[in-house]
Amino acid sequence: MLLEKDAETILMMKDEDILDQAESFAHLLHNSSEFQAFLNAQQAMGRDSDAQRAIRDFQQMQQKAQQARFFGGLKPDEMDRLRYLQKTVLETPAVKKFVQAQEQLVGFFQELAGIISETIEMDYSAACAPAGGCC
Amino acid sequence: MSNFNQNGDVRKGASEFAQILRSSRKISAFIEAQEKLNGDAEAKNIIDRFQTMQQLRATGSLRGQDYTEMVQVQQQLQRNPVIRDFIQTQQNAADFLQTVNMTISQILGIDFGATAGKGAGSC
Repeated sequence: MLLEKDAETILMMKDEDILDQAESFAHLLHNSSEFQAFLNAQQAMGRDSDAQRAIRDFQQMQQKAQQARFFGGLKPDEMDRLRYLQKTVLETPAVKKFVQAQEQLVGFFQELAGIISETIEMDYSAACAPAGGCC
Repeated sequence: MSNFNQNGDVRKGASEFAQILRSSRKISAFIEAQEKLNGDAEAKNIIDRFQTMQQLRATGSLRGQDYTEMVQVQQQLQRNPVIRDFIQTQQNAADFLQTVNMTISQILGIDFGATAGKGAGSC
């Protein structure tokens, strides 16, 4: 809980001071177990040769599919191969762990953004997206 | 300088950081303008009429005289000081939140706001 004295201090805060507080909040987020789990899973996936091979094979097939769009699309057996490679990526243990950690992080960030949105009476995620979009 | 909990309780930290944001000039100006808008019958009536017109337009139900009313409502919307103040303070608050989010996201290496918005079906 903020003390009354702190609240008075906040009222006099300049935007730069609030950005300092945003930095402190970001470090708190960075040190959280949810974010560390996400980083660890991301690094483990980057080091895992099976995962990297599966991702590379899938991306190469995706590129082929994009190029093929101009010539009537992939043949049925190539489409089957694309689906197979996608399934292989998602079933690779390191990728599965990464996807799981990412989903948990999304849920965690949603909860935190919800806390912020409720207090500032404005949807944080929607408001902080440039030009009203999100990605 | 830090005004909020940093003992590892991230939810408590988010709550305290949210209070800091709420007390900032730009967010508090927005909340004040929003409260004024909610308490202003004339402004709310203009917005209701505008939204009705938008719905009619979206469903292709606008008729000849509706277009004239739509233009009138748009003009009232642009002229009404309470609505103008609300829109302006909302934009200022959103601009500020974008800067705040950029600051957080640079440290994390991923976009905090966009990641939090993923479940909303936006990306």
